[in-house]
Amino acid sequence: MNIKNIFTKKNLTPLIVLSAICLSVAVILGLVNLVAAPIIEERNAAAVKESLSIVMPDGEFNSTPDEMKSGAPETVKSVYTEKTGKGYVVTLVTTKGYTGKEIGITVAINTDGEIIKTVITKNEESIVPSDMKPMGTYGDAYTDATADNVVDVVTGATVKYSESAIKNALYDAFVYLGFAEEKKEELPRTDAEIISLSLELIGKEAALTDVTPEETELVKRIYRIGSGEGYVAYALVISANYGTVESETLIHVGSDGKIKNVNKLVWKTSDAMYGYVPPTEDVVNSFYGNLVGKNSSDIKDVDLVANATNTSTNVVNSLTEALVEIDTLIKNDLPTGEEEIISLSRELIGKDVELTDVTPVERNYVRRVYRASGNNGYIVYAVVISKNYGTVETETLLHVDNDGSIVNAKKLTWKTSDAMYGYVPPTEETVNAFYETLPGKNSDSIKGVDLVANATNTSTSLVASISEGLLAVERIESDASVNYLPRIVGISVLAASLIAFAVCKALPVIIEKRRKNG
Amino acid sequence: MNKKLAIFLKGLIAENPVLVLVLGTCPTLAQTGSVIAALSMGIAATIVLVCSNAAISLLRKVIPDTVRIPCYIVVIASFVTVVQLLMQAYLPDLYAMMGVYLALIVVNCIILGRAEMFASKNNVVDSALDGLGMGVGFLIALLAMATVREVLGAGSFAGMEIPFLVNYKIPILVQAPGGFLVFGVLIAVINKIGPKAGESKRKNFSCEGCPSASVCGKSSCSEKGDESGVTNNVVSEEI
Repeated sequence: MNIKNIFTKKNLTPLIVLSAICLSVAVILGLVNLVAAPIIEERNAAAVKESLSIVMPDGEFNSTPDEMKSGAPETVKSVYTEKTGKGYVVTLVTTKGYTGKEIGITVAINTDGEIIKTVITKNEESIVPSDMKPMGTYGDAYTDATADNVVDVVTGATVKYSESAIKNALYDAFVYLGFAEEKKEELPRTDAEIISLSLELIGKEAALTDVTPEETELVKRIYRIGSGEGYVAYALVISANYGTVESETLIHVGSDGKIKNVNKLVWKTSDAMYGYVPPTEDVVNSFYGNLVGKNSSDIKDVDLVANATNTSTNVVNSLTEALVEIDTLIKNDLPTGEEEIISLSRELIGKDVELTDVTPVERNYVRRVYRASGNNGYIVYAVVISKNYGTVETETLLHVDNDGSIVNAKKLTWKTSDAMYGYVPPTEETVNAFYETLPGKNSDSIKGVDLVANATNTSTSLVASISEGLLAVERIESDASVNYLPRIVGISVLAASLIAFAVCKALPVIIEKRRKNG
Repeated sequence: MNKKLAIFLKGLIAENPVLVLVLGTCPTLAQTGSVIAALSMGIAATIVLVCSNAAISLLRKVIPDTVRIPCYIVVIASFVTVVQLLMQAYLPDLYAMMGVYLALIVVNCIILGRAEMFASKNNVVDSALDGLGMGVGFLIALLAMATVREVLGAGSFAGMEIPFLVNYKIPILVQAPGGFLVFGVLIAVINKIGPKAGESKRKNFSCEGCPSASVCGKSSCSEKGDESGVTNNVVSEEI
């Protein structure tokens, strides 16, 4: 292509004309803006002044709010700094009122951190207690209040729930302006109290390690029991919606992710008002009883408490969060570290293979399942930690072939009940002999294996964990074998569509050409 | 003079952009809930129509065919922006009432349509008159719809309550379904009593009976002649 052919009059003229029109238009608009902009700015400033004059009548403000600082509290929507140093006007929106609908607040705060005036500008609350102050008269209720005493200004035995929301929003305004520190969450109980209650719940002395994840909302503490015998979770909900609803719950969760025991520390539902009758204690206890045995998948199926739907929903939500977090912790619990497991696995297989993690989500004793490269089968790492009949622990590494039969088994940990009350544990030779019977077994024949005398519980648990591992491998294999079908079908459909499209496009052209050629 | 008058008058009823050509239905339905809003929209659109028609006619011999649409849009958008800025400065209440529909005048098919079909082919005076006629026709249509909707739907006219109607209003008329209803009825009425009433329905989509045949540049339409004597010297697609 010749460059000169591009820059011809025919090509350049449209470009020049369009550019000239755009330039002219820009100049004209600039001139009009020069005339209109000051008037618009003045009008906007007047409108802002009028809207803010409800809290600061003699203030002078810019027409636009200040730029919001990062990390501003959720309730703070805009901040206007008064130009002559009188202070600030902050607009807030909170949804922590009685029904959770929006409450809009405008507050003027002076440079000493004292409230000048507060006005409720919007109230979408549909249910308001009859003795709650009407909106609009809050104007002087918080005057002269500071961050330190804003929660104490309005006193009285009858705390108005939406008023708590307003007070908290006002506190947020103080925090944003730098007159107060962000409140750290205070739990109703100390850590020592929670640990003591946890040990009571477990029913035994145990070492509790704080493994509380950082980003949780309703779950305040999670402790690991011992080296992985389960977990204790402390969940807390305090909600001002529909009255003050509180629940504090402590749960003991096993290494299978299911709730073993529950302690209802606090259950506080809406106050009896407007003819509302709270549920009886028996009904509430029955609800808590139904939580036992539930895991993160089926806890939401628990029947809620009639006349206390919100409270019981809060309990279920908080425990669901706890169970989900514990599931993650269990999944990652490996008494033997992952690197060592991989190294031992390669030794067991006898080759330096690539191991791909194919651990199923739904599992109990199985902590890891790896697929070995080069058609070398699978590695199953299963752990049993049980407090039944003393501390029973087994850690087992299995090499399983693609048909689901054990190729080799390695005993990493075998801990049976301690020798007590005349009980004599089996010898190491006996235990090793048991392990030597495992190769060749599959998910059916493993059930018939002879248990270790004097270690029935341990070997039963061990067999259960091995059986689970073998079934997991079978499932993975069968899933893998049918996985290709949808892909094949999908690719075939795509290919057929492309071919059909190409034919439809090409065919008329071919026919036309042939027709022309006669 | 008759020709000039004819150019102006045809936009009022015979080729009313809303009720006959069925253009600009979006602002029509959105801004006819009240008479004030309709009046504001009609006046704003008329100003933009007149100015953009005149400007495009002025530049018609300069703008190459290949970039005519972008040029038209730039010109129309600039006039809309001017109207917006001036309304925001001097008529803030009306500006707030019109909301986003003021800016949407840029993409109103009436304006681009008249620019393409008339202003690009005729002199400045005729184009301005055409814009004025179409704008006033648009305004009349909006006012007619708004009157029906506000009087019967809200029991008021231009915000003033009508005492005996306020208790018998039909609220659906000020809502979207009512807007479509009123629009349909008005189109039916115009078809029945308008200048082209009684003409047989178009059985096909050829130029026969097309209301824009007189100004369309298609060579097949040029035989129909042009009542206003304007020339059809550019072949272009109808918008």
